[in-house]
Amino acid sequence: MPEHEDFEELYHDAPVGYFTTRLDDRITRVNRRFLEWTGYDEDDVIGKRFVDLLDPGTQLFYETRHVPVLHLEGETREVVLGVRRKDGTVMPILINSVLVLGPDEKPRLVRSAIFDATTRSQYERDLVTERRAAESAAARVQVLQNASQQFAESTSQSEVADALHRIVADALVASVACVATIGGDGELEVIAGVNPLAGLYAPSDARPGPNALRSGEPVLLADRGEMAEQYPAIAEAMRTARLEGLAAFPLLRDHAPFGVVAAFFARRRELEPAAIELVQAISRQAAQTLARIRLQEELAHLALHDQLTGLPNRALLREHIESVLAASARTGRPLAMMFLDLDGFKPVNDRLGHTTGDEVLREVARRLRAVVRESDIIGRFGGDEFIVLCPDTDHDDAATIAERLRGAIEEPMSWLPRGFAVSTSVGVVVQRPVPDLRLTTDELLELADGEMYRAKNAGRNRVSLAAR
Amino acid sequence: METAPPVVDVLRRNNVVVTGSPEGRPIVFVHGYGCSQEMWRHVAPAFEVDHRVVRFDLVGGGGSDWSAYSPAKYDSLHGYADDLREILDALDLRDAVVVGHSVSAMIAVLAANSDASRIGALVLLGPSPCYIDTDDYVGGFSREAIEGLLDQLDANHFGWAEAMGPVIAGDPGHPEVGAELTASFCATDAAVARHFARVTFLSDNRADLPDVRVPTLIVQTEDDVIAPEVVGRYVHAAIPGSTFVKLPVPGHMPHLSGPDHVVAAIRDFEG
Repeated sequence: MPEHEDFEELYHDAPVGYFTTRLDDRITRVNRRFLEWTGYDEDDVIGKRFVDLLDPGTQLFYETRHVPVLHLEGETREVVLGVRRKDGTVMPILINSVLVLGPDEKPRLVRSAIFDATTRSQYERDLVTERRAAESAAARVQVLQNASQQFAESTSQSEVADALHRIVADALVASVACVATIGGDGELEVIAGVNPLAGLYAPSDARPGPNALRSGEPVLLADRGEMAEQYPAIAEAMRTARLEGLAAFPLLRDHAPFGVVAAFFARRRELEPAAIELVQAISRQAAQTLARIRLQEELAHLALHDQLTGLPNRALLREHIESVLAASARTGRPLAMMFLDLDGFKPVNDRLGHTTGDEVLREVARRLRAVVRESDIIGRFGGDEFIVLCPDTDHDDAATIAERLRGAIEEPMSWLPRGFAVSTSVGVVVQRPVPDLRLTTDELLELADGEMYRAKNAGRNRVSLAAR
Repeated sequence: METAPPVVDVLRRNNVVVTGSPEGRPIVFVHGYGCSQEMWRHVAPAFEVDHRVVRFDLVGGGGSDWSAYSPAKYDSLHGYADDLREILDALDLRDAVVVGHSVSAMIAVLAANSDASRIGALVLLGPSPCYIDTDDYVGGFSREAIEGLLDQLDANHFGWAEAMGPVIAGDPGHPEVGAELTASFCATDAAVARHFARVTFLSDNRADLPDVRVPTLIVQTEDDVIAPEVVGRYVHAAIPGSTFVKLPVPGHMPHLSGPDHVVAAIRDFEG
C-alpha cells in the first residue's frame, strides 16, 4: 500500500469522470478523466454550465427530468445523457448525481460521476428500435384482427360503420372520427360517429371528404396550415373546433368510392406510411362487410316486398298483422283492417295489356301511400287486392281513412282511354281486443274480405265497415 | 335518480390538494412535463397565509388516477386544459391566479381562452408556445433535437424499471421525503411519458396567445435552455398587455433553484 493513498491521483485517474457544479449548474471542478474523455481543457469547462455541454435532445431531458429529480430526491442514478465533445462528436454517458447539503441543511452543490456508455447506448438503441418496431407491428396485427372480428359480428350497415369509426379513431389515436356515405341526394351523410365540423362550413365550401371520395385516394392534412390554401373554410372550422389535423380515407367497393372514414386530430399529425396502410386495410375490410350486408338486405327486401309496387308482400303483411294484433291485445286499443279490391281493373288488364295494368297498380300504390297516416301499413295482398292496416284506430277514424282511400282511387287516371275507370271496394273491420279471445291473422283477413264483398255487392266503389 | 356528483372524481383524478386560507384568493399551481405537484413544495407554502392554495397532478403523473389517461383525450394540451377548468369548477374557485410552469403555462392559456370566468390572472413560468424553430420563429430546438429527446426518453425508460426500483423503495438519506411522495414523484409509465413528451414538445400553440384576455405575468429566468429568453419575449409580445419579468435565477426550474424569487415575482404582480 502506498503511504496515504494519493487521493488526488485517485480522483483524477479513476475510470470515471467526476465533476462538481454549483446550484446554478456551473462547473467548479472536473477530474482529468472527464477532460480526457471529452477532449476539453480545464479552462474550457470551468465556469461553464453543464447543460451547455449536452447535446440538444439531452438538454431537454436533463432540465425536465434529471434536475427536478435531483432537487426533490437528493440524487439521480444511471440517467442516460449525451455529452458533446470538443470535436463536436457526442459521447453517450450514464450519470449519477448527488445533491450535497451545507451545514444549514440547504443544498450547496452537486457532485456527479459519469461513465462512458457508448457500447451500452448503441446496444440499447438497437434494442429500443427493434422493440418499437416489433411492438408497432404487433399492435397493427392486433388492430386488424380486432377489426375483422367486429366486422364479422356486425349484422347491419350501421353496426359496421359504428365499429369502423371506433377502430380507426383508436388506431390513429384520433380525437374524433366519423363515417359518411353517399346519401340519396348524392351528398356525403354521416352515418356513424360525429363530424366535429358540422355546421361550421357551408355546403359549397371545398372539403377534404368529398375530394377523397372523388379521387379514391386518402386526403391527409397534418395541420391547419396545410388546409389553408385548398380548404380555407375547413381550416377556420377546425380552429373553431379546436382541431389541427385530419385524414379522410375513401371507402371503395370494386374500386368505386361510396363513402369516407375521417379522423380528426387535436394537434399536428403526420401519419406514417404504416398507419396509412393500416387504415386502408381496415377500410377494405369494412367495405367488403358493407357489401355483404347490403346484398343480404337486398335479398331480404326482395323476399318480403312486391317488386311491382315496392309494397310489403303477403308474407311481410302477415308479420305486420301478427304484431299489430299483439300490440292491440297488449294496449287494449282497437285496430282497423281494410281490405281493398279494385273495381274495373280486369278490363284494363285484359284489353289494354299488362303494361297498362301494372301502371295502374303502381298508381294505386302511390295514391294509397299519399293518404294513409305514418303509422298505417299498406301492402299488396295479391292481384288487384291491397291491405291497409291501421293500428290504434277506432270506428270513426277507420271510417274517415277508408273513405279517403276510396276517394283517392276514384280520382280519374287521365291517361286511361275513355270507357276505362278504376275504383275500389273497401271492406273494413274495426276490432276491439276481447279478453281471452285472440283473433288470428287468418280470421281477421277473412272478416275484412267478407266486408269487402259486401261493399262490392252493394254496388262497388264504396266502403263497408263492421265494428266488433 | 341522483348520481354522485362528478366533483369527487375530478379531485381524485388529478390528486388535488387544497391548503392555505379558505377565504383567501385562490392560487392554482400546475406542474410541467416530467414532474408532479411536488415541484411546488418551496413556492406554494409561501402563499398559504393569505391564499387558498391548490396543487394537483396532471393525469399520467404523480398521484393522479392513471387509469384516466386516454391517449385520444391527452393527444393535445386541450385535454389537460379541460381538466384544469373542471378542477376550478369543482372547487368553485373565483378570480383564481393560475401559475403554470413550462408546458402547463400553455395549458393555463388554453383554459383561460376557453373559459376565463374563474381565472383572474395567469402566471407563466418558463412558457414556450412552440419548441421547434420555424422559418420566422425561434423556439430553441430543431426537429431533430426534439426527436433526440424522444429517443432519450426511451433510452432512460429502458433501465428505469430496474434502476429506479431501489430509489422508489425509499431514501434513507432524506427521511423528510416520505416513501410515498418519492414513489409518486418517480412513478412514470414509459408509454405515457413518451406520449406526453410528444404532445408537449410537438405542440404549436402560438396562435392562442393573442386571445388571452386576463392579466398575465411572464416569468423568465437566466440561461433557460428549454424556454430561452427570446421565446419568453415572444410570448410577452403576443399576449396583449402582459407583464414580463426576468429573475436572476438560472435554468428552467426557478421554483426549485430560486423559489424566493418566484414567490416575490408573483406577489409583486398581484400588487
